[in-house]
Amino acid sequence: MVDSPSEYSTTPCTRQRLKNGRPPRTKRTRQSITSRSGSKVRRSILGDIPENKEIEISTPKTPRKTPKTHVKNLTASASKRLDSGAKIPCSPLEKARANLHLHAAPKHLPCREVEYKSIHSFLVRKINDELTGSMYICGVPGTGKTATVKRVIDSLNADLLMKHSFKFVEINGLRLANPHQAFSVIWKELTGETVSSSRAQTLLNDHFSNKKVKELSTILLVDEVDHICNRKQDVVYNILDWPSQTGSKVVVITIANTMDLPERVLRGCVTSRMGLTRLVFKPYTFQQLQEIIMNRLIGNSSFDPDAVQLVARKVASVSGDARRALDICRRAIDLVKSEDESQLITINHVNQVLNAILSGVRVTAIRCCCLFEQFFLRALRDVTSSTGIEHSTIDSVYTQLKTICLLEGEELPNEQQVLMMAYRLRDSGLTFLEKKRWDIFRKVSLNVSPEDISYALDKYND
Amino acid sequence: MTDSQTKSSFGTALLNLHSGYTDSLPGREKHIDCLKSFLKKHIKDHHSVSMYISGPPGTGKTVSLHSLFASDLVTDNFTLVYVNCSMIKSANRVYAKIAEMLKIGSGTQRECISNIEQYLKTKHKSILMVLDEIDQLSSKNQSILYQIFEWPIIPQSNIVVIGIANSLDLTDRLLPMLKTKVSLQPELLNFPPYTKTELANIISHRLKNAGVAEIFPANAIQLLSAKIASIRGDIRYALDVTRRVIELADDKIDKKIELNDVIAVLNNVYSTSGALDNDDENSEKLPLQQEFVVCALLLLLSSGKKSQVITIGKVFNVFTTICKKRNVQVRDLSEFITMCSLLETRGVIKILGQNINRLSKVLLLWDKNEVDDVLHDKQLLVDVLNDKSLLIQ
Ligand SMILES: Nc1ncnc2c1ncn2[C@@H]1O[C@H](COP(=O)(O)OP(=O)(O)OP(=O)(O)O)[C@@H](O)[C@H]1O
Ligand SMILES: Nc1ncnc2c1ncn2[C@@H]1O[C@H](COP(=O)(O)OP(=O)(O)O)[C@@H](O)[C@H]1O
Ligand SMILES: [Mg+2]
Ligand SMILES: [Mg+2]
Repeated sequence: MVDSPSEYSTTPCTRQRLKNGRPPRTKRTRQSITSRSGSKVRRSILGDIPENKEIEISTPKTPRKTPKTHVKNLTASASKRLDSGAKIPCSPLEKARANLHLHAAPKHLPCREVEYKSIHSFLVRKINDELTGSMYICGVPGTGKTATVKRVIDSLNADLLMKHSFKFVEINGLRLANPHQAFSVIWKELTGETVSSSRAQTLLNDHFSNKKVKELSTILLVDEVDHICNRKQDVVYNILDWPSQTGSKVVVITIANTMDLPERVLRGCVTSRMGLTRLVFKPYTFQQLQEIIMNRLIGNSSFDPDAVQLVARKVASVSGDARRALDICRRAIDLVKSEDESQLITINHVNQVLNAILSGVRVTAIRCCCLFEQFFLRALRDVTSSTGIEHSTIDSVYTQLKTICLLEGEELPNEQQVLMMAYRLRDSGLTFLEKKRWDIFRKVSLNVSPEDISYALDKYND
Repeated sequence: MTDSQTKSSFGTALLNLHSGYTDSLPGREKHIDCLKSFLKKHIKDHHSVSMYISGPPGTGKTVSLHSLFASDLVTDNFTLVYVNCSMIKSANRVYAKIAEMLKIGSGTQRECISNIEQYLKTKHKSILMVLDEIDQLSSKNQSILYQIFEWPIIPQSNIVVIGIANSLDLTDRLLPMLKTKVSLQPELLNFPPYTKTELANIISHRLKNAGVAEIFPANAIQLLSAKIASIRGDIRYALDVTRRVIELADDKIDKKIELNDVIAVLNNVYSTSGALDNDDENSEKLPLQQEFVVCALLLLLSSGKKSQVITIGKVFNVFTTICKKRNVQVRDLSEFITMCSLLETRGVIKILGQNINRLSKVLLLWDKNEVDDVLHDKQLLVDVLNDKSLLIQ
């Protein structure tokens, strides 16, 4: 399966937590990444970032356009958004900040004109000729897939001729409790009635197979379609089967991140129904990101163009994600906001943000460990590099730990304490422990790179 | 005036080329005849039988049966039960659906089963039961499938069970017990992928029906069907490409379809990225750091032993060395993991396991040539591959 790729600074552990809803095993939230409230984790981690006190606001629960990015966006900017919406921005910086907000996307998305046009003409043709059709849109997160489709629908709605000739229904795979719920959501949007999902499925199949002449065209947008691909894939099958009924006048637009989802994930008979009309949203290049940010800063001179360029270059070299670029810009504004209202955002500010992001959760997590846990990590790193095998036993780590303690002049912890340390490190996501074994010969391995450990501990000692 | 005429002729063409549209089925006469004689035999001797129809997607299985449903042969002699098993919420609901179509009440699963079996035991009109996408009914011990395929041996029953699915050997694989009894053995019928002449026939037939046969040159149809037949023989794809060609021609000024248009669409569809509308050359490249990741992976693959497993952690180590040499600042594994999952969505690599962490195994799905195509800087890969010092930690 495709795992949601947009979680930026999330450790594997938090991923897992999100998936299973597993409660935290430790009370020492300051040191663990697995604690239940994401905000606390961030607090301890981001606490290291200079001048960024604003971050310590509790987790915001803003409804998002694409919830997939929820985790990623639990940053300072997300929380500040709430109050910034309430009062009218006055200073240039605040205006810039508001404009850089995701929801402040301009009416016409820069750099997506070609895609916009091809979706637009696809839909217009289908609606005018009362045809059915299906289109698959793919591209990495934050390349404006959802935004572009929404703009097309907006423009169709603004068109007096088109406005009354179609209905628009949208579902998002991530917002459904289970794939089958898709049917009841679609039915609710179509008719306003709330029915059970199996009833809705029957009703919808009837609705779209009856060749009623008077019905309007239906545009069905299925966002994050990979999340409704259960093992049987019956839901996608069912949805994509509607366009293949004559006269149903359904146009299905499916969106996902994976490029070869139809070939790799979907079953043959689903792929066949999906058809070959596909549109790839490529990651933004550095020039495009620059244009997107500049476009939002028109008439606002609070950003040094070089700073914008740096952000664009950085993001383009990693992922080409517009969301990310805008986030970084907003965080840069947050840095100065408290100081001086009329300040220019320079490369320096951007660099600070980039550094804060780069130094990463893991490094910070290691720095937050207590001294002996850090020793444990060092010992484990040494053992791993000397044997060259990823897995070592706690026992061998203990032996190495003795040496380190001697070296550092600390008192040697006993076996029980070492085991406890291993558990805590496991819970904080820095190491793995072998399953179903409880003694000192339990296998342990690192979940951080040796580099991270050296880096974190070196700096700490300075 | 002429303009509006061509427009409408394109419109009718598109409507007629829709994959749901049917009036006649060229290329499936033999199969339909076979089905007809199968049903006729049942009508004559009232002997309950079963059949399994296999064939890849888009070979006209469903549509052939539907064309039978409309014929007098079926409407006069049979009570029709048609269930698409992909369109019910769970396999167990198939009974309720069947009971509903037989109009014998509803209720719990058990009630439905006993109702149906009761119905089969009493005197009744012949039933034609067609279960489409029957592989969806498979469960742990295949109890549902066995039960359904055993209905024909209920004495007094007067039923024809037809199952449809894609795999050729579904009955052998999932229902080996059926072989033990001759009367239980379903008859098999396979719908092979369409050949290029069949595809061409279907397309030209439909265009003729729409009265617009002249808009699409015959050699273009030939080319198109030959290409599709060589890949999958799926009529839906053939129709889709035809429609696409017509749509594009509609946007042109002279509204003429030429061989080149067909070639252009086909090339787009079957280029490596598998996408239409992928026109410009340079933008298919990867972001720089993702290139490093791929290079690191290639390096590990080329240097390591065959049996060696490559984990995220190992790739990350090489990756950081590459980055350091090129003065790119990277420190965090999370960022790296993000890039790996982005590469995964592009189908470049595959990461095994549910949660991605340092020990997850990584597979490279592309070969070196494909990787070469997406690199900005061809020299990069060569440099990296030759730089053995990268491997020394
Ligand atoms: N011989 C044919 N002549 C004309 N049209 C055809 C022919 N065969 C198939 N088609 C068209 O192709 C469409 C798809 O066929 P059909 O639904 O029968 O596929 P299928 O074999 O059931 O595929 P799946 O296994 O995916 O369900 C039909 O709706 C029909 O319009
Ligand atoms: N071309 C663009 N111009 C301006 N803003 C953009 C552009 N592309 C993306 N964005 C911004 O990025 C956000 C995320 O885009 P979205 O369409 O939700 O991404 P996804 O591809 O993941 O669906 C949008 O809300 C918008 O604010
Ligand atoms: Mg989206
Ligand atoms: Mg079918």
